[in-house]
Amino acid sequence: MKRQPLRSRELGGADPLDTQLGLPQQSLWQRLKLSRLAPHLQRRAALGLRPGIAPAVVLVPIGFLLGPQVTNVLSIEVLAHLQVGISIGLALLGIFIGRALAREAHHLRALAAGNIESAMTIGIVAVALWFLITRSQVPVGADAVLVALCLAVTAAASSGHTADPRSDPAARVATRVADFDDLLLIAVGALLLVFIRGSYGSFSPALALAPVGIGIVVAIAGLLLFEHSDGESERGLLVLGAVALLGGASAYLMTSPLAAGLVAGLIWTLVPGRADEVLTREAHKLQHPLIALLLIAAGAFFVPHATVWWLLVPYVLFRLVGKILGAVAAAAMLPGIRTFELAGYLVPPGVIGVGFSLTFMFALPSDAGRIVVSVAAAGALLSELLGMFLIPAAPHVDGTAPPAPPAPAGGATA
Amino acid sequence: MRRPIALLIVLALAWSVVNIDAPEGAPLRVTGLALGVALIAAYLAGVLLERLKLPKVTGYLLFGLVCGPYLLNIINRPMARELQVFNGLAVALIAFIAGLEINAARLRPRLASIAQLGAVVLATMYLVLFAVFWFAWPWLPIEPDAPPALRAALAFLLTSVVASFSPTVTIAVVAESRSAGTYTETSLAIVILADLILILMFTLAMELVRWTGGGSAQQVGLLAAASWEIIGSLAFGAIVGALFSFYLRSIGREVTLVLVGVCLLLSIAARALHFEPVLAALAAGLVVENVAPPEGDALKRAVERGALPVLVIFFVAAGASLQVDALATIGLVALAIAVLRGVLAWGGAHLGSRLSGQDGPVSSMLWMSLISQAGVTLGLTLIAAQEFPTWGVPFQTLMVALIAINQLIGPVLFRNALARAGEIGQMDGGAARPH
Repeated sequence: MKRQPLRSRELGGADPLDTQLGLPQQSLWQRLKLSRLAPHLQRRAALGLRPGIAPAVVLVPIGFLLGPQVTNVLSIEVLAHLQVGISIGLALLGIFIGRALAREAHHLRALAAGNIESAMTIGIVAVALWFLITRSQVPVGADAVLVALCLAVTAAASSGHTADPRSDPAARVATRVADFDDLLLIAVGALLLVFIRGSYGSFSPALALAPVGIGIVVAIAGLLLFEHSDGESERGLLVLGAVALLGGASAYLMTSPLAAGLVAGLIWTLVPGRADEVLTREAHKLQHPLIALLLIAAGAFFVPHATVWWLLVPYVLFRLVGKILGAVAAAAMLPGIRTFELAGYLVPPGVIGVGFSLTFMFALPSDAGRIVVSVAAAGALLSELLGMFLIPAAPHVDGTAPPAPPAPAGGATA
Repeated sequence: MRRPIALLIVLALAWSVVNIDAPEGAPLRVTGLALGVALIAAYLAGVLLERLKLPKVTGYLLFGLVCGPYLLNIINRPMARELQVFNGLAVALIAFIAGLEINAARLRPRLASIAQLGAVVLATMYLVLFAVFWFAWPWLPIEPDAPPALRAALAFLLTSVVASFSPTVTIAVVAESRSAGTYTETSLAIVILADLILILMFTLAMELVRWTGGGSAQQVGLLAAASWEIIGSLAFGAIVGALFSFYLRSIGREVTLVLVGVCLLLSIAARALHFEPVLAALAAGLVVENVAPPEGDALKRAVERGALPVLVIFFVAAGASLQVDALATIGLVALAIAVLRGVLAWGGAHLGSRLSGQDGPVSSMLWMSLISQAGVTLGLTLIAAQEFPTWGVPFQTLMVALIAINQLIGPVLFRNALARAGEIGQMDGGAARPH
């Protein structure tokens, strides 16, 4: 198996089953005779819905329509059963992030820039929301500090713009920063989960290390199994089993599946051998259903509560402020990108923030959890819409506008 | 040596996690862990058993049984329950794959002889089982002092349930072994036909029991209820299949997502509408295969390659749910009925093959595909037990024990028969594997 250079967390692109079925049809835009519009829209490829619309924009509203607030197709009972898919999806995202970090960690400036940008966003959103909640006495169902911190962690995620090799250098730098900024929020999120657990139940400090332990153990099992697996079916089963173990064990102990996945992804990539490549090929098949599940579940858990509406606008605005100030600090450390370009590219939040909000929801008291996931989901949707206007249409490296893509390929970060 | 070490690591992780002081509500979040353990450890157990010349399916089942709540308890009761929830989706996908395998044009010339064969097998089993149960009723642990009319009705009810087969297990074994051929097709057709008859007979038997037991017959007519379940299931599945075919042809994007959605629809919506999910999913697959052949064929190949995790989970869940304690209480009677059932399946299959002109593997080994019993039988037993708790509970215990025996033996026998018929691996057009 040839080792392919990876440019990002590799989320997005065509679903492998679509490719296998070999049904190359005209895109929806082409069928609607609207293909001239395509180059003017964004070129994000997540879930293959290119050109243009980020999956959160489509799937969060669908989830809301299917959820208990509207049609109740996804009732609370059904949603409780979907928790398994959510934790597995988060573990998968963690693996992708771990792989990206392991492969790109030699870009130390970008690593530092990403984490500074992330820390500034967390700080600004947390302080602003904590101040607003305590001053207004708005009921959030839990400690104001915890809710503000949870929302700040969900706000810090960025998806970057594109992993397409045809994209301009600024977009590639921004994508790298977006990949790296997840590291801090995963660490803070994992510690926050332990703290929440301590606040509302029994607490063992050793649990802070549980994601690391789970990640290492599953990674060792994966190393023993993946390389010597026989055939596509067996490889798929073993990878799915490993991801399910990461997500399942983390969910059971109420620790962070993202952190466990990150540790495993790092190990699988850093240890010599083919485990990483087997994982890449098979995990790609899982990403579309799991990401769709995350976003639909987040939409279904949305409650149109007064507190949610009250927190939503400050959440989006202070997130934007955090990203702009973070980009100012980060761009100073990075050649090849201007501050406002970087800030624009970092506005779309992708799915990690929404995924984190779901993890917090299961740990927090019920009302607070629903408020956090509602604000994060609606905030992600608004930020994605905002991102469509703020991100410059990615030119080619030669400066020309990109053509309408013929079919989904490549990938954008989460 | 790598695989046994990995197996130990996975089991140790699962054991450690469930024995750590888990936070409140942890049992509700156990599904992912159960899935992960089941997938990796059961698969490795299957591979290890394969080296001992036993089918992998046996490994999955035994893993579920040994690690399940009744023995080692690594897959504890909440985990086993959650696996059953996942099972609904698995059953829909398995039946959908089976539908994709049924090519109407290929099967049509043999349809009459298969129907004749099925009729003889079922008639033999129904007649002899009813006669034996009627005469042996005082020794069976279900309402031994029942008056003659009720006794006849109860014997008929017991007959209808004992004579049932498991289309899901049969289909799952075929999918797991990637078998194709005359023997495979005939076996599938007979168990699916028997499933239709079972629904009719069980409904009739329950109505007779209500009538002879002094209860009131249901408001909805007997025929209407059975028709709704059979015809409704097939129609619902056909509509879903037609819509999916249209999607494949006209859009063809995000097929994985849409396929998962279709299976969820077939599983959840079918249950909510009182349809039989197996029949609905089978009809959906059949329509896709026969209405949109090129897309259906491509989808079939892709889905079959990716179905292994679903099949492993299905068999582990089946193993973990085997109630071995029922065997301890009523095992001898259940064993006697299991032996009688096996003998009748053998006799009926031989007689039917002779009368319908079947020969070869179908004639000599059809009975081996008729041993498995599982979810449908258990579900019907539960319906009877809930409505008639006085005799329903011992009736349920007897059937649970019988299902445990047949579930352990049936898949192994059937897979062995597929190997002997040389049809394993033929789904890929490849050479047969010994196991």
